[in-house]
Amino acid sequence: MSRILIVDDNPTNLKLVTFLVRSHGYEVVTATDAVLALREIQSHRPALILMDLQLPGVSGLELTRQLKTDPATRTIPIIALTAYAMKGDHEKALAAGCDDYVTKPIDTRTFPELIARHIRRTEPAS
Amino acid sequence: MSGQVAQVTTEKKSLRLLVVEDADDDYRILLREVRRGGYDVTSTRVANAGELTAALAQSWDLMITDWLLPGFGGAEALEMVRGHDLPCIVISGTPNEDEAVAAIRAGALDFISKDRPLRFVPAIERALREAADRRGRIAAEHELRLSEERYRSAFELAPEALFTFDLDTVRIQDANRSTLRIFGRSLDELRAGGFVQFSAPRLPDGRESRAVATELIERLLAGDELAPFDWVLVGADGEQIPVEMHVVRLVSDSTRSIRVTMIDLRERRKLEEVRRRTIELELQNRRIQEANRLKSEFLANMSHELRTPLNAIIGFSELLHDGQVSPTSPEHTEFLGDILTSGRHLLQLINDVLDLAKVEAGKLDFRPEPVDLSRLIGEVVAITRTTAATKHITVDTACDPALDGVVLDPGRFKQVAYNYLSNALKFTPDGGRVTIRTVAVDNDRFRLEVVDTGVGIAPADLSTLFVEFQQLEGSTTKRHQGTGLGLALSRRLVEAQGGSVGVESTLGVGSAFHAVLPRRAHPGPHEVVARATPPPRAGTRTILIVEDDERDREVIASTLARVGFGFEIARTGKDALARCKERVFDAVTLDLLLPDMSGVDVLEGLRVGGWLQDTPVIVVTIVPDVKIAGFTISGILRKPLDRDALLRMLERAGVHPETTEVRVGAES
Repeated sequence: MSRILIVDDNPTNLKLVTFLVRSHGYEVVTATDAVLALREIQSHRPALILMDLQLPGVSGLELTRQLKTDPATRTIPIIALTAYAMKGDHEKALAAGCDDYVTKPIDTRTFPELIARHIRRTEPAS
Repeated sequence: MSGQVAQVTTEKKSLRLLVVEDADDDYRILLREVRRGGYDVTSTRVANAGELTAALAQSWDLMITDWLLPGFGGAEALEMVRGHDLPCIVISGTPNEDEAVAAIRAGALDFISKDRPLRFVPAIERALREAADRRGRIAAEHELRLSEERYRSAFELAPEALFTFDLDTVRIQDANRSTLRIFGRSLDELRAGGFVQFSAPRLPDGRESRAVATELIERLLAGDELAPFDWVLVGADGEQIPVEMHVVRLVSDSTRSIRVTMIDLRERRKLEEVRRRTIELELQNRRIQEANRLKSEFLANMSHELRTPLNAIIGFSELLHDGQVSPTSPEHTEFLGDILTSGRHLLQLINDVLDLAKVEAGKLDFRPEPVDLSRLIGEVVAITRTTAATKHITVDTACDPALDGVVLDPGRFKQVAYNYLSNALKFTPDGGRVTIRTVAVDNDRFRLEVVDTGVGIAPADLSTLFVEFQQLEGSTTKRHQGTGLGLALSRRLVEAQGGSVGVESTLGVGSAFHAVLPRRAHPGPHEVVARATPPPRAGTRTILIVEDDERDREVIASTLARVGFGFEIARTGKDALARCKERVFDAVTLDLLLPDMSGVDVLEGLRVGGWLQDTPVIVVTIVPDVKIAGFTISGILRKPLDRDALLRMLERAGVHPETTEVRVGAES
């Protein structure tokens, strides 16, 4: 069972995504900021990270950049999850190293398939 | 003799001599004498006007003419050579005094008798000497004139405005074209008028031109050098012309005069103005760009803030709808609760944004009415009671008892108080303490304060607190519990009422937010409408009773009559509106349930149409929890009627039965 790390500081959103991911058979760990997320990644290496880009303190963009430059974590797929949907936000996320980009509100019907695709893509390698 | 000749030869002077003579002998004698005098002579003899004219084509040093010739004469010859710069001597065979005088008058330098040939040479020498002197003098004069002309044209045609000014007569002596152009006057006009006459009464610094001119002239007369100074002229068309004056003393001049170079500052001012406007436009452009950037940022934030609760609403709804959550599971209820909370949050956000937009456009309505601040504070505290209780936060309230007679929009006040209080509760840790209080500032203003024992705010963040969507980093709770608009909206609400907001904070100790508001709200801009003077009223205060129920009407009428009010009765809304068009009432009691129209419609008619825009209206109703949106009212009385409450309400609205003042309108 693949482990997924959800990084989001909004408790309601965290609850929604956790429920959705968990109900599709994944193990879920959560973090509400970058420091807690790094701690989780070190102790329980996730198969995929769902990353809110607006975190208090170190932003999700910055955390993604950090993870994608570290050889130990660069292969973990990161899906950006953000309520920012203006022109340029998507490009910024991809530039930081996000593997995919999802705008809130998320579509709970297609979201699980997106996660599965990224996990399938990386699993043989890991 | 030969020696003498030799001597003569060495001293030979050349002489080109033109002789007007009909007698050949006389001519020879003349030439002999001249040669004897040591001249190497070249000569021609002419005997009439034609020959003389032809000879004058050549250059001559001297002309000697006989006075009397056949058909010609010395006088005519002299006349013909006038203007040729040719010295002339007249000789005559029959000399007399009259001839001599006539010859000298005609321009001859000498008049000699033919009988005295020995006088010829000295006369020639003197004539040549005199001619040479005269030529020198003429050359010098010519040179002087040229020099003057050169100076004149330099002065006259100089691009700078130049003029000379006599310190004794205090008049302009001379002025060049540039000066005349600036003054817009002729030289004669300038010479005729006093200088102050052409000056503005005052200088730009406010000093009187006349006094300053007097002082400057005194300093110049005392020998001071003047630094360039500013002056203001008045052109012929009345235009004020700023100039800069540079004064040079004319040293060689016997009169006490100065030369002034005048610089027209209008061109310079125009350039300065252009430069200033350029800078201004640039700043404006930058402000517009900044506003544009802020607008884009606002939209981006707005989109973000709307999507966040929608994520929960749509996400959970889909899960529930798709049957992914068992209806019997605790999650089912929890998720419904999340949808509800997020929906409410969204609504609050939209309301805040709309309010912000209204305030920004100056379209927010304020409906001031007499309020009891302690009651309003109590209501706000009641709304947040659950939050406070959950966090075990003690909320203290303190209302200044001196604060009575406050008139403001209670809804807007509660909005601000609620924003402050809910913020304070959010940032105060469990078991903390929050105080909300009102304090009189002075006779015109009071202060609402909310003090917490929360985390406090870093000084650097204080300035962004009241700005839209500027939620502070580092607090996970705040971002998602507020819209990020509350404080910004509070600031705008308070400022729109002529107040101000502020905050003091110490990290780790707590924060104190305040709003200073006027104690008596000014009517909002929507109420400031030019109105005609209302019809006069004086004497007994008269109240319009709008009531269809006979018993209630009786109670109100008797209560009013007992304390000395007059009254009129309207049983329908239509009747009420008609009466209000005819006269002004001091107050109105209004039943909300009328047979023909609703009380609110009547209220609208009174407020918008008649003279009753400011008249206190007391709503009397059996409807519990009545809401009157849109119009100011003085109070609501529930039925069955409390007589004393009615009188108290009238008193609070400033309506007293006895006539204590005469309105201005009554005098007209």
